[in-house]
Amino acid sequence: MTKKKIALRMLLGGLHYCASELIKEDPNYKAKIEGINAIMQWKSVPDGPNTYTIIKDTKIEFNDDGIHEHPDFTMICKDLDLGLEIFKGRNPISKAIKNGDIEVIGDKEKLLKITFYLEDLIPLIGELAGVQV
Amino acid sequence: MDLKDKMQIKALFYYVGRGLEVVSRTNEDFQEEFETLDGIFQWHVGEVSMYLIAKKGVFETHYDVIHDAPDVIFTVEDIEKAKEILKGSLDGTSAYMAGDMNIQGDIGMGQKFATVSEVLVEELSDLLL
Repeated sequence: MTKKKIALRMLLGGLHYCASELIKEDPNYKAKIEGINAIMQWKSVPDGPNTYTIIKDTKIEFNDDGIHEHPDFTMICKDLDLGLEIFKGRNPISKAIKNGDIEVIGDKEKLLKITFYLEDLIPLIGELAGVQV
Repeated sequence: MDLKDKMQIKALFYYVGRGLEVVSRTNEDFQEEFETLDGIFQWHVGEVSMYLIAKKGVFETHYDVIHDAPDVIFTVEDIEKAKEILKGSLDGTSAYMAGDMNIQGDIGMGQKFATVSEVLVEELSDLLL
């Protein structure tokens, strides 16, 4: 497995882990997550990493090496460097989707409604990757 | 410890912990170099904790928990120093010598963990941070 693939798995996992921890720490974030049921798939083509996240009952389950059979939507990225930039917080995911840098299959509206899920973390941990917030 | 610091330490713990889990299972050079490493390594930074178990060089990480019989305990009170250590910009030996990191237990095993961490930093830190 290449270093970039491992790094992307780490970044994705780190964000989802921090999201699940932030639910315990921040009542406002928890309130925003409440009522959301979503299965999000991330695919890096041609050969991974592929990950998915299940948000249900204010809990987050993350698989950093797998494909879900029935995701609500799948984000497809053809460029590992772009993926790294997005999950370091240097390139907002909503912008990358709007620009077509990430292809979305499935319920795009649902995705755009919950991009806060990751973007709210950037002011907290983006600094680690040199993001000015 | 404010929320931002806490989340950053949690993120760094995840990068180290999950990074070691993945690299120790996929990198043949790593496996060859650390195939005899066995130990339990407890970390505390402020109120955030994790421990890692190494068995024959393969790592397993547990977050937000304290092991009742670790071989080594690393404690860093200064949050900024802890970030530097976990990011690899400050090496553990220097931090220990300067009194920025407290090590209790088997110091030799602590040094082995420092070597393991250096490999991880070389592998991934440029890409993660």
